[in-house]
Amino acid sequence: MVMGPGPGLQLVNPDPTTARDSLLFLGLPVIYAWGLFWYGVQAAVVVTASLTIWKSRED
Amino acid sequence: MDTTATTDLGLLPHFCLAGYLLFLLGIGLWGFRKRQAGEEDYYLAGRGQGWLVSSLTIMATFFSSAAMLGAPGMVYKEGVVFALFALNVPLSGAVIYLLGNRIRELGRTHGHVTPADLICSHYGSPVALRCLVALIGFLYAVPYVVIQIQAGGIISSRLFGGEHAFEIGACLLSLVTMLYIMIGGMRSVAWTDALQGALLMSGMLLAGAAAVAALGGPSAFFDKVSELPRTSLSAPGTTGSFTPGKLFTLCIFGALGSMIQPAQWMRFYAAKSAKALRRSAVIFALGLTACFLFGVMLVGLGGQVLYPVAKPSADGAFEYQVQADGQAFGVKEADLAKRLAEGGKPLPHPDVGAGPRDFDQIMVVVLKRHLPELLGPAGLLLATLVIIAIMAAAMSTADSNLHAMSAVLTRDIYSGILRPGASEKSRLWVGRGVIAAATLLALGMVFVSRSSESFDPIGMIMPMSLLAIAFSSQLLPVTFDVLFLKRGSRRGAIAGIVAGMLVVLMFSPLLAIATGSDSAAVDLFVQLKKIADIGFCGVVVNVAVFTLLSVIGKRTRS
Repeated sequence: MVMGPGPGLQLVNPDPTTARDSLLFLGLPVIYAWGLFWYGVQAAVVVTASLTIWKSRED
Repeated sequence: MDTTATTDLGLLPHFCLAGYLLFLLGIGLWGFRKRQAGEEDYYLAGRGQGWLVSSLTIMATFFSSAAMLGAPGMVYKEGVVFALFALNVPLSGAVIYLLGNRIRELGRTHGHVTPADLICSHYGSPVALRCLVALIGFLYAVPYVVIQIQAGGIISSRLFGGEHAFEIGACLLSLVTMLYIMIGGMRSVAWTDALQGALLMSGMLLAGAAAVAALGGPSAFFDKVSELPRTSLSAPGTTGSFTPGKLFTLCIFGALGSMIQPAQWMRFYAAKSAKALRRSAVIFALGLTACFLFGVMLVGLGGQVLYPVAKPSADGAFEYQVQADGQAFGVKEADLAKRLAEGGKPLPHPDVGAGPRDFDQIMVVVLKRHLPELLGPAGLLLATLVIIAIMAAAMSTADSNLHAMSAVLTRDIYSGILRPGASEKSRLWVGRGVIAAATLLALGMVFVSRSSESFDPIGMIMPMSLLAIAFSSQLLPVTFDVLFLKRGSRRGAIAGIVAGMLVVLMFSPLLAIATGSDSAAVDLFVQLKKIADIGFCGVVVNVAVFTLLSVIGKRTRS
């Protein structure tokens, strides 16, 4: 959460005054690509927790 | 591209909607036939919900019409930065298991039905804390129900047109919802939510696919999106509202606050097992976020291309339409922030709407115009189904909140304080009465708002709905203490909640009414609101007061 929508966003947030290319990453808006990446990370964390820590607690 | 043509959906929506509403009533009757005697069955479906129904009902309760209309509307208005708000959903998914499973275990052991049952039994406060927790539940539920009914009216008027389409749509939505909750209780609510949740997810993805297809496929879609104004492609967005700090606290407290509101809390009690909640958490975190990122958010982005909010002027700079003092005028991109700071409000494309609040219409406009153009008769059917999915989002949130409000007022206030010895049968009838009264009250507020120019409860309730999540966030400190820490005191819990709620109230229009709109206090809270979420500010004070009084109380006792 800190990296995706939080202060970590400053790392990739394009400066509106720079060239238009800096607004894109692999053809996608850089902020959208950033969101997709952190969605992947969050999903991996939830799935891993579900299959390991949470499941073992149930057992 | 011609965007002015409108599409007549013919009688198809009438038949689809009639069939859908009849099916919901059928589920209500099925719930009635499957009922067992007792309050626990009416409010918690006998605590026997499996993972599929649990996950769908939690999702359907989480996503209201605001998510189906408001989220794409915000992306359409602010740009791609608001798509990051979707990242609050995986956190909500984790909360379903981390908090939900402990709540479920305690509820099953002690027979709890409402949030106040659990919190008050821990702190041993039968009246004061129970009233506070019930008040928070009430403050959360009321605006949500009113907004859903209004959304039903708006969709009906967009879908059918005609003089009384709004009133008929609002009445149908509220009466059908009221009927199936009253007759079938939680079982009917959960099963209708399951249907509505499935519709909702399909609708969100389909809407995104329609927006991408309307612009010629994924590659052409992102090519055109990359030509949007720079403010649409970077933070803090068009109006400068979504700084990373604000977005971060909004995501954290949006996720936590909406997951510990009474309707979700009761769904945790109703789950059959830890496994049901664990699977629900995964489905919620993965599925719903995908629907957001690959579905409705793309509608907002595509909407900016199809119905531009800013047009390039002769010198190449983008020009926005802004409304101030009732007048609309063009503003260059460089001057936009200054104009907005002076009270101006950006306007959507004229084909989407005429007022600053009409950004939310983008979803319906894109679906109604572009799906039939792309797919012909199949597109007509799909557009109708997605628009009905928006209605499903409204109904599923309204039914969950009405049902939870009934439990809170009946268990916590009527039988908890006013008539502690009331029989179970009388409690159930009071609960049904609460559902009917709350539905009619909400419907009345929607109609008064439309017919009166001087009294507009919806205008007040829209900001109040944001305050509602902030209010429900004030249960977070006591919930963490009850479930994990177990170190707080009753006095600390009561004082913390009161302090948190007072801070949240400072962000409401009440402060301006009390001190004048140009006072230093109002300025301070306006500045705070730009930096952080309202719920976050309340929780900081809540935790400080709760901790301080709990520590002082412990030292005094020792």
